[in-house]
Amino acid sequence: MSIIDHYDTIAAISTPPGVGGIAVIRLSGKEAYSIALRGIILNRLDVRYAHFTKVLDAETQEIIDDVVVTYFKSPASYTGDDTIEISCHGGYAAAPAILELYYKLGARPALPGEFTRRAFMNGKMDLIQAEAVADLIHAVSESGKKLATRTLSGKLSQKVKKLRTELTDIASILELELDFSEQEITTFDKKELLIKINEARNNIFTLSESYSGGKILREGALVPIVGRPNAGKSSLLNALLEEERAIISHIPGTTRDTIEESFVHNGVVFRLVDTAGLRDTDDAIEKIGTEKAKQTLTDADLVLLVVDLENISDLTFEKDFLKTYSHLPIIVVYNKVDLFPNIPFIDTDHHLSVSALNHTGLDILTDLMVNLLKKHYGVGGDTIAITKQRHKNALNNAGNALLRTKEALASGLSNEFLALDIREAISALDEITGHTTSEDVLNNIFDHFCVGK
Amino acid sequence: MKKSYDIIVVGGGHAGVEAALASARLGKSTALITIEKSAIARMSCNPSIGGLAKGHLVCELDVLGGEMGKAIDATGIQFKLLNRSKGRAVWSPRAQADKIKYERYMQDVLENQANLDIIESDARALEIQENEFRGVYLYNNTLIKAKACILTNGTFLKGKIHIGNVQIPAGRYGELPSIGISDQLKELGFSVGRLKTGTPSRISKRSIDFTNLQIQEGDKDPRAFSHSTRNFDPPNIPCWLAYTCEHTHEILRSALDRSPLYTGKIDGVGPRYCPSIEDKIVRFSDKTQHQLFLEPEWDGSSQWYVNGFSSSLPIDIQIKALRSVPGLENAEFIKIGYAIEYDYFPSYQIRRSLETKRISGLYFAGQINGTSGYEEAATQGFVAAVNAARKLDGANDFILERHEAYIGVLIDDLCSKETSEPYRMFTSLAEYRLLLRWDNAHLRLLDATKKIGIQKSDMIDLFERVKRETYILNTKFSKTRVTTDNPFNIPLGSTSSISLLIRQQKITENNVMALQKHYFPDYLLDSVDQAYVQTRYEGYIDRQFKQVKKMNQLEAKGIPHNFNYSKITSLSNEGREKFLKFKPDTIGQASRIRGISPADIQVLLIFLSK
Ligand SMILES: Cc1cc2nc3c(=O)[nH]c(=O)nc-3n(C[C@H](O)[C@H](O)[C@H](O)COP(=O)(O)OP(=O)(O)OC[C@H]3O[C@@H](n4cnc5c(N)ncnc54)[C@H](O)[C@@H]3O)c2cc1C
Ligand SMILES: Nc1nc2c(ncn2[C@@H]2O[C@H](COP(=O)(O)OP(=O)(O)OP(=O)(O)O)[C@@H](O)[C@H]2O)c(=O)[nH]1
Ligand SMILES: [Mg+2]
Repeated sequence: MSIIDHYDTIAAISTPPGVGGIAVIRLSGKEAYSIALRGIILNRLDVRYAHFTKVLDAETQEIIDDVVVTYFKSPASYTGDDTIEISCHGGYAAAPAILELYYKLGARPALPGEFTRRAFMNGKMDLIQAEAVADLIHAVSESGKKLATRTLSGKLSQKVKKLRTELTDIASILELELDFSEQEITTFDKKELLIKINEARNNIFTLSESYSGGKILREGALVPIVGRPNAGKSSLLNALLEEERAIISHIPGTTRDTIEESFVHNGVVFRLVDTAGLRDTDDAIEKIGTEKAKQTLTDADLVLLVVDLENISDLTFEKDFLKTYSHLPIIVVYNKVDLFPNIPFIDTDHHLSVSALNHTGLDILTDLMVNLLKKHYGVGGDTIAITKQRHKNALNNAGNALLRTKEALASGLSNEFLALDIREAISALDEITGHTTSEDVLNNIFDHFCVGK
Repeated sequence: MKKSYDIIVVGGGHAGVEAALASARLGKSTALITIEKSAIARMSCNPSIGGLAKGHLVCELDVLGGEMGKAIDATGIQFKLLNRSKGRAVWSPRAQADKIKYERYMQDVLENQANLDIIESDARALEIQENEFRGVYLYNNTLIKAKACILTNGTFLKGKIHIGNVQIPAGRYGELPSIGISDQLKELGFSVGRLKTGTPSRISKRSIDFTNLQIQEGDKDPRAFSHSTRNFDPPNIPCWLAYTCEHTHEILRSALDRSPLYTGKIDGVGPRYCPSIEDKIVRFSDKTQHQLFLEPEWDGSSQWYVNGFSSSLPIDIQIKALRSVPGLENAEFIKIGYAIEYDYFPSYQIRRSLETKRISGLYFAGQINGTSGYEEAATQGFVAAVNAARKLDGANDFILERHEAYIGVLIDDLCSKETSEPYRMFTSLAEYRLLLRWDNAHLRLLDATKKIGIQKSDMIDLFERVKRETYILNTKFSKTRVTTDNPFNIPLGSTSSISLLIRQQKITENNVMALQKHYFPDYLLDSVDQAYVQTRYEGYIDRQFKQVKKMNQLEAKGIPHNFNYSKITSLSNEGREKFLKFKPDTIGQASRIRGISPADIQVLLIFLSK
């Protein structure tokens, strides 16, 4: 079985995802202090003092967020180990990014109930509390199991099992030559082995990349509604929500601040963001709104670009926009079609006429939104995607182990060295499925090769 | 023969021999009770010692103070270091044995061992009071008392031989089975299982036509198993390779309905790594031929062993089938192949000391624990005796960890895995394989060896010297510069340190001798070699040490023997059941039990810390 390390530094978001104005990330373990420092621009932390600082990804030199960091020194902390709490901006972007950074810097994802378990181990609780914790771990792992069987049911679990089988096959080939070399056995040449390793690695990589799609499943798709002032963006938001959420008026520049509201279609959560109309302006407030709209676009998964059919003589703005954001899936929504009963209805790949006023074309629009997400991120329907950071980590570890296998193979090392890394790759996959056995390789050998004297 | 001893060993097989010697050498008055004195240390099956992973076991046993390595060095007739084209960790020594000389050698050593009596008799029952071992009853009901007992009955417990439809009660061909002990233990609450193994025919040498067979010789530079072996110059007698053909398979196939394996007469589970020939043609029907090794059973032997042709088919079929093999057309049969079924005790019933959980002072070693192989048996016999002796002295258990020795892996596996087939050692079972080399057993087991106290002092001095020198050499390698005109004739642009050249693979395996001669003449070749390997594979070795360190945190967390799993409701049902069955010694061991989830381990940790 894959062994949980009870002593290394763990990290998790300790506020519910996406809720509230502030998210707290907790790091705990022997190295929590030094790991925490690696991600912020301070080089020391005073005990129990709130430090205002920034989280910086040293690799990309990118500032992730402004945060407040507090250091609780062992044993005076919740877990009893050195603990760091990082408060960052709530919502969906900052906290996961910071967490991901800390996984890179040496922490590992905490298991369900693990902070509490450590607290108990360090004598921070009495037995009654501890029993409650044990039950909780059991319950969490049970419901986790249920959840796992649900999310892992069918395709994903089959997929991971298939990947594992590929790796076990490779391991068997390697071990066969080590443990049965006295006998007449099928030997594989380096090239064949390399092909197999590459295949396995690609498959693991593809699954790991499906995480961004998984993220949409988990947190919803961020869909800004943009366009020139007065195009009908707020009207479209209201129409999709079927609720008078945003203020609508015939005065261009009505919407100043962004408004976010969710709605669900075909099992996909859309986080619609109404934005201020985009135009050059001298109005200070409107300018802030425009900036905010642009900000939202950096995290967008899909964009609705609203065009007023009354203003299509000059589409310079729209053309420029499409060029600037060509990496994003964009739907061009021609609004106010009700005013032009004589022009043909537009319904092509990424172009669609609607009327926000009397709800024409909205069903087609929502279907199109789902389809585009599917196409771009493999979300929804029957594509396989992973949705947990923990799974992504495990897959990345497996991929890295395979990379080391390749390097070892290239440098001419013998099978037992390659086997070491393949084993690591296998146990990384086992962390996803909870698979717990080590005898598989020998069993596989006995099943597929005629060995034994 | 006395009426009372410190320790009784039942069975003079490979486990029993090591157990008796270790016990006597630790100063305990010891009795070895065995059915037939002249069969002591007999090789029931193939005439060879060592092989992949098994060679490691023999080397480890040798360092700790066992006899097997010395015995095979003295009586082997062909030596080979296997896997030489692979990395160091999986090299493994193997030798063809002269079966007769091997038995005699061991019997001589036993005869001359102080504190040891050999009693030729059949142990029928044990005297047990209040779950404590007290003595052994011989076949004539004489009671021999002792404080501890090591049972090493091998394949003899209710042994039953199968040849076709014929069944013969036997412990081995021509030897009586042991009746009584397994039933008695079953009554005492032990669970008993049934396993099966097989052996091929022996044929006469003069009936073999060698002309078209492939010759297989040993190494020209043979390596001894034992550190104490000096002036090693063994014979190098070849073996030969033959192949079955389609016709052989047809004959075998035609008689499957007369095979006890397929007619359901055999209940015992056989080892998949040691399949019978009929099993091979059934499971791998697309293979058109199978390899057979023809091996002499002793020097100048007329009796040859047909390795790879183990069978329990009727005599006429075995004869017909083997005679269809090119080169064996005229084979004359000395002994026919057979399968044997026997009782064993599923090994969750023992602790890592090899003491049974149920009866204090009673130890199991060897085939009785569901293992197979001489080497697996011998190492267990030794460990059981050391622990029995230590218990009498009030000392703590002698336990080797998985990262220290294959012996540790073997015994830990026995105590935490469910064996459905006979267990044998494979290098792939050792997760810290790169640390467990056959050539560094004396370094990794030095402390353990000293703790046991059997090994001779000159050997300990030697091991300590190698350890010390290796340590020093590791630093010297990085400080010593090799110049452009070097004894290895390596073209170098500029001078470079030895360690760098080793890592760049410019100084290789083949240069180790020159390295010692030219740079470190005052050091032992062994030390230079050890330092070479450590430098060459430094990165990987470090990684394995890190893994060990991580795991050790769990290995170090002990679980009391009387720990009450039943009261922990938050364990999963399967987890509780398995824990109750295996009663693991440590969290590490608990985590290796099949079916245990990480959540079970967490829950266990919580309750243990109270
Ligand atoms: C037919 C056959 C085929 C085998 N094939 C293989 C193989 O292919 N590969 C492999 O690795 N191993 C094989 N083995 C197994 C190998 O022989 C054993 O693993 C090994 O010998 C076990 O050692 P041991 O000391 O446990 O028992 P054994 O070597 O079986 O010795 C048991 C000893 O105990 C004595 N004894 C038993 N009961 C009593 C009693 N009640 N009182 C007194 N003395 C008693 C016996 O006389 C015998 O001397 C085979 C064994 C047999 C019989
Ligand atoms: N006829 C018609 N009028 C529409 C439609 N959609 C919006 N309008 C009108 O267009 C005007 C602008 O609508 P808004 O929804 O406020 O436009 P906006 O894009 O949010 O404008 P700003 O927030 O100022 O950028 C309002 O008077 C709406 O009533 C439509 O489908 N048909
Ligand atoms: Mg608006």
